[in-house]
Amino acid sequence: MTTDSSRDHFGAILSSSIHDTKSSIAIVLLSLERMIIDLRNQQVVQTPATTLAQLGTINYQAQRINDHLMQLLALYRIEKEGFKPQIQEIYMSEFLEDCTTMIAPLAEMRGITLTLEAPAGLYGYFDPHLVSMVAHSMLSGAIIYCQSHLRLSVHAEQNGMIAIRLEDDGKGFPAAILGKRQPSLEELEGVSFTGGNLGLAIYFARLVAELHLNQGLQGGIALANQSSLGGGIFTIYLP
Amino acid sequence: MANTLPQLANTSILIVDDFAGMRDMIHSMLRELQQGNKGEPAVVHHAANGKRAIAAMLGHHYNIILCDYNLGAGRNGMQLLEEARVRGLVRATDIFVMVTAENTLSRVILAAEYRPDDYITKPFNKSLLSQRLLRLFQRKENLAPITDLMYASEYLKALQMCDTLLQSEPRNPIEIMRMRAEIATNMGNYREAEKSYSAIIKRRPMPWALLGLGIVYFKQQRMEEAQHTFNRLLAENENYLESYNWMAKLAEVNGDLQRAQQLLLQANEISPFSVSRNLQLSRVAEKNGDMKTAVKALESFVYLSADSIHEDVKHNLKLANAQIACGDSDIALKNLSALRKRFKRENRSLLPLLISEHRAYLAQKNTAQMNACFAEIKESYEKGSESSIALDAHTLLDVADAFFVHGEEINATAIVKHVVENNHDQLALLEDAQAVFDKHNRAEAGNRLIETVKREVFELNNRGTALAKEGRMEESLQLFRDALKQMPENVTININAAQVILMNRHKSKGNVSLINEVSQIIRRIEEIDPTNPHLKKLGLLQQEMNS
Repeated sequence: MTTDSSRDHFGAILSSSIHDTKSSIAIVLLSLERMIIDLRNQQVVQTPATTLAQLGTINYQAQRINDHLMQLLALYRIEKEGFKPQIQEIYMSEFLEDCTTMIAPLAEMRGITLTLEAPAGLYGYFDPHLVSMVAHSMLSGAIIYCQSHLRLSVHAEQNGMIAIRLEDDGKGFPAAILGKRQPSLEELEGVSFTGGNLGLAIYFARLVAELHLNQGLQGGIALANQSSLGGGIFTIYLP
Repeated sequence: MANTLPQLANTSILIVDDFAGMRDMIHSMLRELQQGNKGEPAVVHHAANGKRAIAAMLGHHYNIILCDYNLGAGRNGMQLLEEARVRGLVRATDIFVMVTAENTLSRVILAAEYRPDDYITKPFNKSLLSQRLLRLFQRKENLAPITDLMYASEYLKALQMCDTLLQSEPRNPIEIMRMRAEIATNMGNYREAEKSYSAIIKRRPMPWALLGLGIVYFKQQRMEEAQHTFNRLLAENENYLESYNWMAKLAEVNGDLQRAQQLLLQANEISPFSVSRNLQLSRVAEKNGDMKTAVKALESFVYLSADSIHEDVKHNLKLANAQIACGDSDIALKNLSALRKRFKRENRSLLPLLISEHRAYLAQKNTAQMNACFAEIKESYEKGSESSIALDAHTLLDVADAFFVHGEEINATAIVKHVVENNHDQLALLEDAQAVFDKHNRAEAGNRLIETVKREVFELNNRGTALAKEGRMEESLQLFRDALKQMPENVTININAAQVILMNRHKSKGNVSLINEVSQIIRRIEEIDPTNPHLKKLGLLQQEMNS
């Protein structure tokens, strides 16, 4: 651990400007959400479907700006400041609910069904803030390339790990990165889907998973195709 | 989306954020969540910073506080929470949610002694806020059987209630186990605390549980197990800095002050922002004679504690004294001059500050200023002994030292005698008293004085106790009463006086003047020595007398 003062300086500036930016994004997002609801509820003049769709796009992109900002800051803290996950006991069904609440309005607008599956009484031990960032960025990717259905589920694995799984009914992951449990950033470069680059999200997911250690077990991620819904399967394993 | 939260009816909510737009946004979400609710709509107040939030909480009790972590200049959200909990402005049954901008600043936050009930990361929408609040309402309701008992100070029953709830397969077992451990620790029931922490660790070695267990071992003087636990915590969480503080305390207890200082410096290198660690470091460095480090630590402390409950002019004076010891009298005098205004504003006795100034002028060999300062010290001391403001014993020894410096030996000796009379069994203080004489080449006279006073007080106590044992209560009590006129802060005499009154508690029932006298004495003991082990027993006997 070093204590270079210029680094501290940069970290502080980064953190404070991100704080302000996030407040602004929060207000943009919330105003948009309100606007969409108001437009829909309007009785007199029917809002054109294209306007609603455009507002939906703005909302989606603002969420992505937020996700990317969060990922960048988290990467900075992990790589430069040695940030370690802060393990908490998590009630899994609540966690899944929390992960999807922000994205639910968008899913609803695009006519996408979001199914949550968590066995009652299942607990996980991980950093909920880091893992929810992973879940959120994977979900906001999936929502673009799936057809009409997403399933977020959690499973207790035999080796004591918790698996959080996201399945979709899209075209699936490209062959280039399939089957690799731990794709590197180079391999992920250029992995692009309609609507945005998923490479960084996968890299971030892997990093977060691997930071989680418990009694000789290390977390990881897996990508596969042909889910029960027909599309891709993303899984994060947490020890 | 028909999303409402009926639980918000009849509540009071405080939103704390430095950004007005954010406050308005949260406020309108809360308004929407109440649409169609029965009952009174929630009272929602805003505060833009920590100071205003505390002011609002002092005037109004809030059931829910939504507080941004980052509040601009001044207190941050965690400091606000700490102050609010310490001052009893936020109860265990209230909901405190910390709003954060990032997901990775939790290192310091999660280790904090005072935790919010939940964290919510910006941006969030109405549904997420509603979902979190709903869960918190349910959680508070589940925990109410415990928190209600805690609120009524029924700790033993609260502990039993934890066990009852744990047997009913609750939704949040670890949280209840943690509450159980914390209640037991606060009660001083370290065995039970140890049981709870061990059970949590068995489930999963959470860092806070390892820390709690280490502290519980420490409090039981099981130093090896404490050391082992802190080592384990650090091996798995090298950034869990609280464990450095405790390992340093361990080293201090073991007499290894160098190691203690090294550990604290190591932790400060990772995060220099801990108020309590800087204070600890300054104390250890001072003991090590490393005044440069002490100055640095105190400077950090004064800076970090500004505008918080840890702020205390006592430490500003310590800083000035350490600066003088480092040869920086100029800087010290500048700080002291700024501090003077605050002393006046807060209506404090200037004496401790004058002592420091005097010391600085002495170091500078500035005779003129020294004399002027001494005149002020004399004036302030005489004023202080007329009014009944109890002066701290160490300040009095410093005053005596100044009298010696200016050749007023008789006055100096009288002050030291007064200190010794009031503290005849405080060995460390007696050593300091002796040191004042040593410094001015009066070692032998000092030793004679201290031994004589000690013997006199000792004999007085014996005589009084013997009279009481013979049943001559009136004589015994009168003896102690007379002694207290001369040495009102002597803890032993105070305790004996109270005991004599309370021995007759059954006969004295309804005797208002005795009841008042004993409660006055007990209050005085609490003021001078709040952790005195006799207080508990005296309190119980007093209750019998009053009932």
